[in-house]
Amino acid sequence: MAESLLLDTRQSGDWTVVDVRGEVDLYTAPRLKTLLTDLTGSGRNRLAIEFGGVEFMDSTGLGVLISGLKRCREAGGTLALVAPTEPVRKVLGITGLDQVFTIHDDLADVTGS
Amino acid sequence: MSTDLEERFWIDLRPEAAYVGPARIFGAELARQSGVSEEILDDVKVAVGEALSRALNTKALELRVKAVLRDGRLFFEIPQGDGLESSDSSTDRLMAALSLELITVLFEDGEAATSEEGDPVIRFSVPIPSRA
Repeated sequence: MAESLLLDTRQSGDWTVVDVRGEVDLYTAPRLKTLLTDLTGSGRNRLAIEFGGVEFMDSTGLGVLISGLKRCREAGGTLALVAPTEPVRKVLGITGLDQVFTIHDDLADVTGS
Repeated sequence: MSTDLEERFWIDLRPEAAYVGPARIFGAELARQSGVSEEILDDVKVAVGEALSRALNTKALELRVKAVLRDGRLFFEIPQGDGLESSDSSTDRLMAALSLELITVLFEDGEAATSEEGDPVIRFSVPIPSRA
């Protein structure tokens, strides 16, 4: 079956940038969860999640993001969402989670570079 | 114009997470081919996808999307399992609640109901604009 979720990470100052592309659903979300768990487990707790390439996300994906945010905060960091697409913004808005996450239009607004 | 004619569509797939995506695409493409307006197609994808995820979480024996085109609407029905939803953590329980919330907010007739055969299902319908 074709890969429907692509993940990439890079460092930008204090922030670890996670580039997410494709679809985040019941099938693919565990991979994102594993990545976020590994990052926070290795002490990287300032995460900027780039969502500009995510065409679809369901409640499983929301759960992964909430878990990631909790782990970051427990370690004194945070998790920010960058440039979510309209379908993702709609899901965040309906569930009220747009009030929970810090959402930025541009990565530079998060990392300052 | 009202008509007694109806068309029925369905897809059955193995109850595995890998098939949620293809089943979701089936639902959205069926809506597109039926004439559902483009701005609602993303909502259909979300609702079908959430219902399918709930089906797996409630241990459904198959991953099925059923739809009936009747009287200017496309009626979706996604069978659910009768097992308990996974509740490994507070986040899992929250997501299970948000899943149904998403469906009912996106479609005002969205509901967790019982089929004619007495089995648990998720239902919602989508208007088909007339092609006058």
